[in-house]
Amino acid sequence: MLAQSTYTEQELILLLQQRSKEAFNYLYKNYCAVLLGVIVKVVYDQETANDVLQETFVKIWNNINQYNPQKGRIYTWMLNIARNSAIDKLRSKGEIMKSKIQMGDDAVNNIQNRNNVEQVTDTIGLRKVVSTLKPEYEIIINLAYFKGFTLDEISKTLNIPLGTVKTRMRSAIQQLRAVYNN
Amino acid sequence: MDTKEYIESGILEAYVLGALPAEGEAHVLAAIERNPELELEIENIENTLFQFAVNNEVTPPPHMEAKIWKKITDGQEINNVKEGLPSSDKESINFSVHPVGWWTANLRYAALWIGLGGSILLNAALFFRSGVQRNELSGVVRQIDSIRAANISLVLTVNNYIKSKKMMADNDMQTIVMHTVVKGHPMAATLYVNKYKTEGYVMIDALPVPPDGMQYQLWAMQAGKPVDMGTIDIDIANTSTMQKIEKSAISGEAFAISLEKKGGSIVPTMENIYVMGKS
Repeated sequence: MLAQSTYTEQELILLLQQRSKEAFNYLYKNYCAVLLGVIVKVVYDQETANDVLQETFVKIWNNINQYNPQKGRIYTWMLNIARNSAIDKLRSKGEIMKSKIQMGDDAVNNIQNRNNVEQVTDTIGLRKVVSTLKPEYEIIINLAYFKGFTLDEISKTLNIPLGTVKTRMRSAIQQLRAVYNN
Repeated sequence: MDTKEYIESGILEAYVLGALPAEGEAHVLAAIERNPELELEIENIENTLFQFAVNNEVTPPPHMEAKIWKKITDGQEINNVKEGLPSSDKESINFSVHPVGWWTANLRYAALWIGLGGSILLNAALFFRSGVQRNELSGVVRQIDSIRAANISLVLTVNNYIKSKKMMADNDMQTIVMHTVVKGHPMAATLYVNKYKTEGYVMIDALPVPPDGMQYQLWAMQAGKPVDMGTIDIDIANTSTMQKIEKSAISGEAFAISLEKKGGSIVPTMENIYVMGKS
C-alpha cells in the first residue's frame, strides 16, 4: 500500500492538476518502484524500462485531467499507463508480435519453464519474482496484464474456452487476495 | 444473470486487467452504474492487483527522479515569457546620421541628446512602473494561491459529502454515529464499515482540533475490551475529511474516539474518550 497517506487520492489529483512540484515528488516517491516493477515485467530490460518509466510519468503529468474516477482508482490508471507504455515500446520495436508468437508456441511450455523466466528477471534485478500463483493462473495474468492480450487472444493462444479464461482470471485474483489477506 | 453470477463470471477481473475490448468495457461500466455492489468488487480487484504490483516493485536508479522532473519542466519552458527591454529603446539609439549642413548636424545632435534624455526618463518611468506591476503581480499570485487552496479544500469537502452520501445509501455499508460522552460539549464522528467488516472509513463531524503533540485514536470494543483501530491523521481532524481505517478486521460492539499522545496509545485514556457509538 502507499507508504504515507500524506495526500488522499483527491488531494493528489487536485495538486497534480495545479502543477505542484510537491505532488510530483509525492507521486514519484510513492509509485516509482511499483510502476517500474510492472514495466520491467513487460520489457525485460532495465535501460528500456527506465525510458518507459520516464514516459509514464510525463503521460501521467500531462493527462491528469483525463483521469476518470468512475473507471477506477488513480493507481490502477497509473499502472495501466505504465503497462500500456511498456507494451507500446515493445510494439514499436516489433517485439510484441514476436512475443505473441512466442507466447502462442510456448504457452504450455512456459508453465514448465517458469524457472527460465525467473532467471531472466533475476538478472535485471526483479526483487520478488517467486510467483504465488498456480501456473495455469499465472500464465493468464501474464498474458492479460503484462502482454496486453485480450480475452479472445488468450482463449485462442491457450486453446481454452472464453468462459474458462474469465473464471481463471477470477480464481487467480482470488488466490492473490487470499495470499495478501494472510 | 444476477449479481452473484455476474461477479463470479470473472468479467470484472477481465475489466480491471484490461483484457476487454472497448465494447465490453462499456458494458461493465454500465453495469456498475446500475449496481453499486459491483463497484466494491472492482475496488477489491484493483487493491489486489496493486498489492501484486507492490510485491514486484523495482527501485529505479537514484538519478531518475531529477531526470524525469527535468523532462517534465523542459516541456513547459515554451510557456515562459522572455523578459527584456522594450524594442523602442533600441530604436531610439539606432537611427542613422546623414552628412548634412552644420545647423542640420547640430539639430541632429540636439535631437539625439533629447532622444537619449527622453529614453532615460522613459526607462526610469518604465522601471518604476514595472516595480509597481511586480508588486501588484505578486499580490495577485498570492490571491490565486489562496483561492487555489480554498478551492482544494472546497472540492475535498464536497467529495467527502458525496462519498458520505453514497456510503449512507449503500445497504452494504453500516453507519455508526459516535456521539459525545462529555456533557455540554457537542461532538460527533461517523464510522462507515462494509458488511464484511473488512473496510471502513472514519469521518470527524465535530471534534476540537487536537493540541500540539496529541492525536485522536479510534477504538473498537470487542468482548468488553478496547482494541486499537488506528490513529486519525491530524489533518483529517482539522479538515473534517474522511480517513480509511487501515485494519483488515473492523468489528466491535461499540466504537469510540479518544485523545491520545501523538502516535497513539496501547490502551485508551478513559477520561479522554470524547465520542462513542454502538454498532
